[in-house]
Amino acid sequence: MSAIAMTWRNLSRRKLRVGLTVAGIAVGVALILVLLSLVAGIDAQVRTSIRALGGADIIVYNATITNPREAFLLGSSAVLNESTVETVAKLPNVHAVSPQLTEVVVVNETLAPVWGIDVRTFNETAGGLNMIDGKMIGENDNNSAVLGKSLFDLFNMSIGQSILIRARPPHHNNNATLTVVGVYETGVFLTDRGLYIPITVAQNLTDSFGFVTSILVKADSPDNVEAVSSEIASLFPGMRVLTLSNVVAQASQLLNTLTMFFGTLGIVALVAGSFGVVNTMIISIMERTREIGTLKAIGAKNSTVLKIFILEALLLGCLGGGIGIIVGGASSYLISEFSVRILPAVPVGQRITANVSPMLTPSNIVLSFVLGLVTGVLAGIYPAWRAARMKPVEALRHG
Amino acid sequence: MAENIVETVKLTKVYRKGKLEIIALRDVNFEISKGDIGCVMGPSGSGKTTLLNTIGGLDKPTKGKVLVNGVDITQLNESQLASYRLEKIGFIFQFYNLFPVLTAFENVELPLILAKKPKRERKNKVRQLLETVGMTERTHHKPDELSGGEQQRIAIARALANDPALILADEPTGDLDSENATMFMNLVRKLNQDYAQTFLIVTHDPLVVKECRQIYMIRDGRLEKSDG
Repeated sequence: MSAIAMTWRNLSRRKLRVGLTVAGIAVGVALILVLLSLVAGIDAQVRTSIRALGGADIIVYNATITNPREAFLLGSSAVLNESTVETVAKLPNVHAVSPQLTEVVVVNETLAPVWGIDVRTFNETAGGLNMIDGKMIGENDNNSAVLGKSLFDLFNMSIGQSILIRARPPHHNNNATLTVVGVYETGVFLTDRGLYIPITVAQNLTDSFGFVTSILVKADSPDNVEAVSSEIASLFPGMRVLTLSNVVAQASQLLNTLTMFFGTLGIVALVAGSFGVVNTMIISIMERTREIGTLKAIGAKNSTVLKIFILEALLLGCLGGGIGIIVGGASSYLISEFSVRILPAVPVGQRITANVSPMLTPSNIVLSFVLGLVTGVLAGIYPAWRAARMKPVEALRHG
Repeated sequence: MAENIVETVKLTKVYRKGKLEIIALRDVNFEISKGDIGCVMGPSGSGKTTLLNTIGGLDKPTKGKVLVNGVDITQLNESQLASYRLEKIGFIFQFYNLFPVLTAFENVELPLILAKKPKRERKNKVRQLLETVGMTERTHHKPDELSGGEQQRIAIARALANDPALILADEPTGDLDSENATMFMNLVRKLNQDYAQTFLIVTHDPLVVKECRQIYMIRDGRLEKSDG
């Protein structure tokens, strides 16, 4: 017989009470896990947003299209046109401007995000791509593509091979064959799972001649970024204008709100849960007073009695933590499934990238679980200490 | 003369209940030698259980000594007393006090676990003890699946687990019918004859008293030897 088996059987004696106690902890753990997942999701989103800017200062895109589902429903209509690009380029303090057309396409029978770029202005505005093999697409080269590392590895390709790109419905008859001339790596999952091609090829694929989905802007000095972005915003009220600082500001505002909401609820739930543990344990110790007396009579030391009840609290915490991460994990998953409706989308300047959705990470799961465990043990210390200090004679006399 | 297992010297225990002072033991000098079956009788509240608990290291006297192999256990700290109870004493209670979540086997095994005995040794010892008390067939039953008499036999096996010098029993037949009480005392006699196991029993059951070699009476905290 192991100590854990004995503890388990002692807990099983009071299923309803133990169940309710465990539920108290589980609620707290679940809320904390959802919070941590949302924070992780937003963090990933911010990284993606910053990456979307590349080395550019500002990204301009249509505010009405913010998620792939919507983009899919609307087909692949490009929403900005090239005259907008020219207007922006002529604004004061603008150093360089580069149009982009973002789309999801089928590359060698696999769905992948594609960024159509004007290579010369892209290099000037965003500072190019971090090439790890081969070279960047040439400035007037309309037959080449560069692949993200994950996509490149997925196809098990080598430099110089060709890829077939097909557009999705309603443009599914359009296709292009390009030569892979290089591989880049950004560290952002979605970007590394995609590819960059010349913008004209992208426009041909989607029948959107003259249209772009976003514009990258570089100011002549970091001090002028805000001025340029507000100028663009006032000229084009329907557009969303994003700078690095407002990506961060938006994200941190959202983070604060979420932390306040879930963090407060989670901590309140855990504190309430810990009262539940204290309560359950004190009642259980009162009911088992005579058993504690007997245990001492047959030679258990105070420290042994303490350990037995701490183990019981630990097991309560363990159960609460376990159920909490299952519930919290499932909730995070559901929230990310329905995030379009529940949470405000944080636009990232690309139709490809998704909304703010919770991201379950192993470290957050472990952290939430440990939190439940610690709550259980901390709450168990006082009752266990009381049990350990009982006088055996009095405990034995107890009915 | 047989060796003394326990000897008390001027043992005195005073309880305070508000302003009231209750003297449970008054200068009790008592000894029990190896192989004895002693019993202590007396009206309720006379201090029988206090004597038993003080000898068993569960309760501390107000004055006096409890000498076990020459060592005064009243000077031991709580942890040392726990070890004393574990190694030297076996307790048997009126209501058996078995752990309801544990099987017969596990209840007997518990003192061996507390004594940190290796698993194999524990297993052999428990089997042997269950056989001694005639409970092999009930090895995997929980207390609520056993009769009172059966539970008390498991309790004896548990008390014997660490080969105690002395088994202390507080009204062990108080909750048993006469058939089971007789069976219990037969077992006590057998253990005494076969292993020279020493017992000290608090009782007022004539069935028990007639098996005892040393009979004591406690009245108002004073101990008197009775010649039966």
